[in-house]
Amino acid sequence: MWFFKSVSKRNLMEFLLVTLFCLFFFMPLVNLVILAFSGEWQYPNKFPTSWSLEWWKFVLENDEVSRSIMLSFSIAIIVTILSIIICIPAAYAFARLQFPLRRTFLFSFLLTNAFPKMGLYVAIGVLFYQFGLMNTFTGIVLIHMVNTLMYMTWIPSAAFKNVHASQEEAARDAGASPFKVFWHVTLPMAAPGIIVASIFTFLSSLDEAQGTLLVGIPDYQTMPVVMYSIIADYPSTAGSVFSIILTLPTIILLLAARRFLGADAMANGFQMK
Amino acid sequence: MDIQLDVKNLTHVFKTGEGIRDINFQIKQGELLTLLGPSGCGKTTILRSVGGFIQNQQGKIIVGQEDITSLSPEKRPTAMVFQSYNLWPHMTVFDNLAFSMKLKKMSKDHINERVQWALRLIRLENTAKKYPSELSGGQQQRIALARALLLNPKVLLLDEPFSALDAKLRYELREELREIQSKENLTMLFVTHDQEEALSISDRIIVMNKGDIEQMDSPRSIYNEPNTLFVAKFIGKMNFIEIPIADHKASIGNNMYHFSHTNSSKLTAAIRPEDITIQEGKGDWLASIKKIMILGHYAEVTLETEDGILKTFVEKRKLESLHVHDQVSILLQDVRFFEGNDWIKYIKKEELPTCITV
Ligand SMILES: Nc1ncnc2c1ncn2[C@@H]1O[C@H](COP(=O)(O)OP(=O)(O)OP(=O)(O)O)[C@@H](O)[C@H]1O
Ligand SMILES: [Mg+2]
Repeated sequence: MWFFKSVSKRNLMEFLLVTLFCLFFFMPLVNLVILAFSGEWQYPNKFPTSWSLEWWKFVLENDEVSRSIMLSFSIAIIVTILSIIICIPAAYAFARLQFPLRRTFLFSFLLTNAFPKMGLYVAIGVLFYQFGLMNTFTGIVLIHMVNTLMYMTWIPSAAFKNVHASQEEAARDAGASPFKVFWHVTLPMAAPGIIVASIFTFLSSLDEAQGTLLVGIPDYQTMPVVMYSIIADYPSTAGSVFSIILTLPTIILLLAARRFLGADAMANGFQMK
Repeated sequence: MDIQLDVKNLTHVFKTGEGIRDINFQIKQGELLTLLGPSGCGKTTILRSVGGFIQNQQGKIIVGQEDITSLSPEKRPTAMVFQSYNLWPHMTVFDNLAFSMKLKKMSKDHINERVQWALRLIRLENTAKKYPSELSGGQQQRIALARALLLNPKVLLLDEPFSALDAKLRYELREELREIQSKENLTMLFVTHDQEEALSISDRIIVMNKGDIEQMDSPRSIYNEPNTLFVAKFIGKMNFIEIPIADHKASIGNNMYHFSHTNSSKLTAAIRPEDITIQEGKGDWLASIKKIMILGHYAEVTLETEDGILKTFVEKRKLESLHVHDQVSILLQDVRFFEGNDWIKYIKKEELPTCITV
């Protein structure tokens, strides 16, 4: 039992905590996966008595479902691109420029996330009615961006702040115009932060249900919206199949993000003390 | 020799009221001029104005024949080495060095050749593939220097490039900098608040105080002939004694100094420790030894006179004859007087008949 001997008391505590955390975190996931592939699973049994891909077939062959997947991804892509276009300049301004009401602006981004969401959405919904944005693609994109603006401004802004003025000035000195400095020095150095923020934006748009439900009804049904109805109308197996499909992009993107988060830590290490 | 940098009436005052006022100086081709002064006196402000990082100042900056006052940094024939955060961490050393040449779309062979040349010059040939994070602080600053040299600047600007490094490394790097400077015949404007650094590498030094130039001279003159009390206090070790003045005359020990005109009733006499000799027999002044502090091959001896405390240095082998509380006579080789902040020249030194002997 070299393993247990080599761990001290404190390590043991850590070990137990991590195990507990894993159980808490992964049990539902494991359960979800098992459920998704089960054919028959009655209460006293620990495992399903038969396995089947029936509900996978149902979900994947369901037109409504595949349409919702397409819709969700196109919305998420557009929301991410628009957020980048709007927020990166703003993030740079917050990091570099001193202007009046700077703090107020930054704070207002937080504020949208402080209110109960539904209240905010209803208020926005009223506005959307007046502008004819209810039940439109544009409306959904806009309501998603209410959430994503915060990530896309705060995280890249911190990344831009990490680029020192003298690093930009050194590039000016070397003959680069302000735009080239941004392109060759500032942006690449802030890239890890921007990529992470974009992934967050993408995922949060993919997951958004409340606002979409309110604005998109009845024509625009995204994945999470469709999932509500599937969970309500079909056995739990269908729901779990669907949640796996919904979780898959999240997991893939988070793995990708981890790579860049590692790069971010590396970039911090680059700085001279 | 040609004037390479000409700064005329440069003024830049920040909103806070601090800044630089009416700065004038010139640097000759191949000269190393140092801006020296306490923190906040405006050294960086001058340097950044020359580099173009501060604009809209009054005055003129001329490099060679060209007035560059209104040019942006990328168009100026200057190159700057910053105190820290010089290098771009996402690029290798090679890419850092090649950046400016790639912008100018030079040929690959030429770029390779130039980068190799620069790396040889700073003796870091095999770092080309490394990232800045894989280099020590001193190596990073050398790369920054190399990058600045590759711009072929007409004037090289350095803002305390070694101040973040430890003393030994600082010493080595400034030797190396001086070597490269004379080898490449570089014109340099160097900023430091370390007087030893300034005295050791400069051709000329500008001592600054609160946005003004106090004195501009060779290191030797700055040390031996400070023009103001501020410079005398700032550079090296110095004894200061307040002495009364009457009838344009002031006396130290049995020496009487005559002045052509004085306005105040007091002068400050400044005496370098090495200009004080302790001797037996006849001298200028009577003193008693208060303290002897051994500092290696020499000792610092504190003397008490009737006008004030003086410190001097004594070689180890002469120390044996000296003891605390001894009465000694001392000889003053050089005394410099200041009225207020300004140096005042005496016209005559007269020895009083009262003879001091121990
Ligand atoms: N951007 C600025 N805005 C307002 N005041 C400034 C600014 N930059 C510098 N100052 C002020 O101008 C004065 C000169 O600053 P400067 O940076 O030139 O000093 P320095 O001689 O380089 O000092 P140090 O040795 O500490 O680097 C300081 O009092 C400083 O507070
Ligand atoms: Mg400075």
